[in-house]
Amino acid sequence: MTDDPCGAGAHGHDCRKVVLDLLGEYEAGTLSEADRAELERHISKCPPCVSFLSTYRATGKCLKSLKPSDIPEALADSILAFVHARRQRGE
Amino acid sequence: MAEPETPTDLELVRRIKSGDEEAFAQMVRRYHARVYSLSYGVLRNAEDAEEATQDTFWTLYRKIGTFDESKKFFSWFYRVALNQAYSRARRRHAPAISLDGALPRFDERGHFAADFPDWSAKVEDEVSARELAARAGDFIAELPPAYRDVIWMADVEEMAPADVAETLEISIPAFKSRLHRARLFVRERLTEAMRAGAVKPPVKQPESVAR
Repeated sequence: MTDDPCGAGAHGHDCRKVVLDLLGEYEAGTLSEADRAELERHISKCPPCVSFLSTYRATGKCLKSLKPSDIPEALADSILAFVHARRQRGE
Repeated sequence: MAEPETPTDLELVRRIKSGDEEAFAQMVRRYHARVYSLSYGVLRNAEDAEEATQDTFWTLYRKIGTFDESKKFFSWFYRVALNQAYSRARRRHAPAISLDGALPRFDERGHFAADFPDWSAKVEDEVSARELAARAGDFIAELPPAYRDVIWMADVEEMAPADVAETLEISIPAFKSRLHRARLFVRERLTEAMRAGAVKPPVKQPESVAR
């Protein structure tokens, strides 16, 4: 990386503003038109922010796969048996 | 023949309150997987998650009379599930972490303070993606509960923002802020792991043996 990898220039938002304040709303599609345009202008000229956005999105992709897919097969039955047993014991 | 209409949550709640066993069984079938998944997000252990799920439905059975029918059932019930999971988790001592200590750093010009690898292509590789996901799960577990619940419900369970905010009884701006900070934290920790070589790079398979 060079000394100044961000090529977005001194005017407009800096990387900190883009990453910390705007990126979440940008990904949710809830950023104002002006902020969205400025964020996209910044990112188009800033390779580190491009990488940041890619890894931020990749993180989201990883998280989606965390949902347990191996729900115990007999779980519903075991819950009903558990509740039934407790009731029988008069708890 | 017309399909029998699926009862709403509220209809089932009312029937359970009047002692209808079949309505309770139906509620179990409707929610057991989601409650299990939510519990797993807190406990990260199949056996604990299963026990917490059983306790949650036992609580539902006993406390359904206290449910305020003007509220959404699932948000009340998910809070019951989270309480059960956290009361179990409290038995294990979890070290507190600082969220600010693992957020991206910037210099005085507002630029990134340090170089970092772009590891995003690794999620396209099945083996690396699995390992990354496992690490991401570990990092979520390090988060304070207020952040962990939000990222688990929004990004893992893919619940709608309004539903997460309602379940956790927080505002939409608070939801957005916590979610973004939690994602930044997990991304930063994954990047650190990648930099340290803790996540293996994809192993290239010859075309003939690749799946």
